[in-house]
Amino acid sequence: MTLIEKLFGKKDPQSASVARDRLKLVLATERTTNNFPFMEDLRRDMIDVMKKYLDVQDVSIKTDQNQKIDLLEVEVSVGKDGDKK
Amino acid sequence: MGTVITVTSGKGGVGKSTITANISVGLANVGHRVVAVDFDIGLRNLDMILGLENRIVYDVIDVMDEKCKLQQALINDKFSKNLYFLPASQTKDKTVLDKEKVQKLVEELKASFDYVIIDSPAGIEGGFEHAILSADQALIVSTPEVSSVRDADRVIGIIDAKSLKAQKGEEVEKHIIINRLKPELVEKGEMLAIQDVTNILALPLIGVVPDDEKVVSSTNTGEPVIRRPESSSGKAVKNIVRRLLGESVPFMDLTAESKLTAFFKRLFQ
Repeated sequence: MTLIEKLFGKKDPQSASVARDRLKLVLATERTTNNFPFMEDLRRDMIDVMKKYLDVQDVSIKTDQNQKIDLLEVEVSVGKDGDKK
Repeated sequence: MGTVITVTSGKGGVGKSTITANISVGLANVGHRVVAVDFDIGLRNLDMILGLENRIVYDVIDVMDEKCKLQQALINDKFSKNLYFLPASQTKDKTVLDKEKVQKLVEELKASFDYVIIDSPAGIEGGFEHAILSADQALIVSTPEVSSVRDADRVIGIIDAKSLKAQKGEEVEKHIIINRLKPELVEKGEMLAIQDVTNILALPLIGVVPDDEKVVSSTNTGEPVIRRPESSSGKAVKNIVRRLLGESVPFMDLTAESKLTAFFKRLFQ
């Protein structure tokens, strides 16, 4: 440290704010898996049901939290005839 | 009927047993009949913090297995006639516990004490589940570190799923204790601040215990730091006890040394 840095107190990047952000991120994902432990089963069941009506390629379920509401976004990819083998 | 308070954390080594010992002594000091129960089966520790390790004859498993009467296993504190201690078993496997036995024991303790303070083992497995089973209140201890806060969050999420109170439609009262806070690091932005932890865990705070060497020497001698009212950590745990009893006590000023002192320290480093 130079004398100037000593005098004015050199600012390092603050690790506490990094910790805060990392924690928020990791807990956001962990909390959703804690809230919906059945997610994978649900996904498989949805595919099975929809296969009766559609040529389902994949179902993806995204979770989102908005204040006190848990949001599930279901995206269904349907195959086109041309893609079929 | 007494109140059951379980001290838990998820992560090990954050000060659960120390907090348990201090709160138990504190509640007994103001005249309540208190029993501190060590539920860390296989890894007995609360006995040393309370300084009662030489008096153990029977343990909590002996009582549950009806090898002895509850009164035979209870150890009276050296200083306080109101405080009793029920040690964890050191030798037996923790799988010997079962829920009915745990519940029966806690009911028996509730009948003769005002407060049953349970020291939960680390982790979220069987031992933790037994410790939280009959809880009226839970104190979640966390240090201002990422791993500790993360595990605390995890534990908070499963407390209600594992408690009898929640099964009856009631809620276990939950509070956060932040342990080993270093104000000078917080000031520098190198440690999570009180506000950060409470924001993330989204539960009310019941106490902040500053990092204090006195805690180490207190554990060395087996006299909980609350018996040293001049120490900052002793004051902090005393405040937690008062808040548990419903008093509204302002939080201690834990800001670090003044900017000017810090400036001179830096200059002469």
